[in-house]
Amino acid sequence: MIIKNGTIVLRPIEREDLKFLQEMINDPEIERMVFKGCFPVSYDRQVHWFENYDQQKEFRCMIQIQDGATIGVMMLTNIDWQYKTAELSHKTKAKAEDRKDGDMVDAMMGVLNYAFNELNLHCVCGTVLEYNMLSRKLALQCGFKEEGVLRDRAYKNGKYHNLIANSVLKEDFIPIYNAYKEKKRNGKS
Amino acid sequence: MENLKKYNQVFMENFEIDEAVLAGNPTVLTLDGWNSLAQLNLITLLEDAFDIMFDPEDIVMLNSYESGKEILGRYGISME
Repeated sequence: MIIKNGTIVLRPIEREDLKFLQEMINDPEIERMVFKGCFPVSYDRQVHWFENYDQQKEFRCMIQIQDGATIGVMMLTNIDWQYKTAELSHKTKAKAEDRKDGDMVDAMMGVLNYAFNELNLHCVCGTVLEYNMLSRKLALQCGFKEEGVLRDRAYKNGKYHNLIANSVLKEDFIPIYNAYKEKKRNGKS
Repeated sequence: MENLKKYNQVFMENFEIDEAVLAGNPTVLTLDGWNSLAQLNLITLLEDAFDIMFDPEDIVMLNSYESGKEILGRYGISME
């Protein structure tokens, strides 16, 4: 199912999104913000990936503003059904005029609610570059706790950088999600 | 001094805060409204105000009022 939450919709990746996904992967600015970089990706390779990836194995959705532009991608990968864990990651690429205030909180709250209350996961975890304060703040807002520093785990722009390992448990998320929904109901974003 | 005035103006406008708040060195973590959209707007406003184009690594590192001043210094914009 698609996920509608506040300003955004999380919808499946369609063939029309491949150019946008390719641009995100190849964007040097985004590369600086994410842990795992990669070699440049051609459009043909992007199409090949799309035609071969299993949509029912992992959660990979486009983040779209309701009745508006597509602004990024949200993913739950490495889902472990035995231990009920998964890894969360996201990327955005959009002009300010295509964004809405609070859109990424809505996207992350939406996917976490889906992870805990539909997929019945117990723990969602992730990693973020230590210097990426905006991503760290977003995760903290959505209930993630920072668990530790992975020293020199990433190498970018000629330097090693620390990674922050973080996670959120279902029991931590539920009260935070309820407070967030309450705020929304009262018209505060 | 003129540059500092411009810089402060951008911060106050973008985050809708009073000048007094700037003295406390607001950061991504301490300022409620500092999210990824506000960051995009901040970068655009600073680029327009000082007629520069930020490098990607500087955009990531601009995460506090004081760090912004240091970064602008590397573009030859002094706040003295």
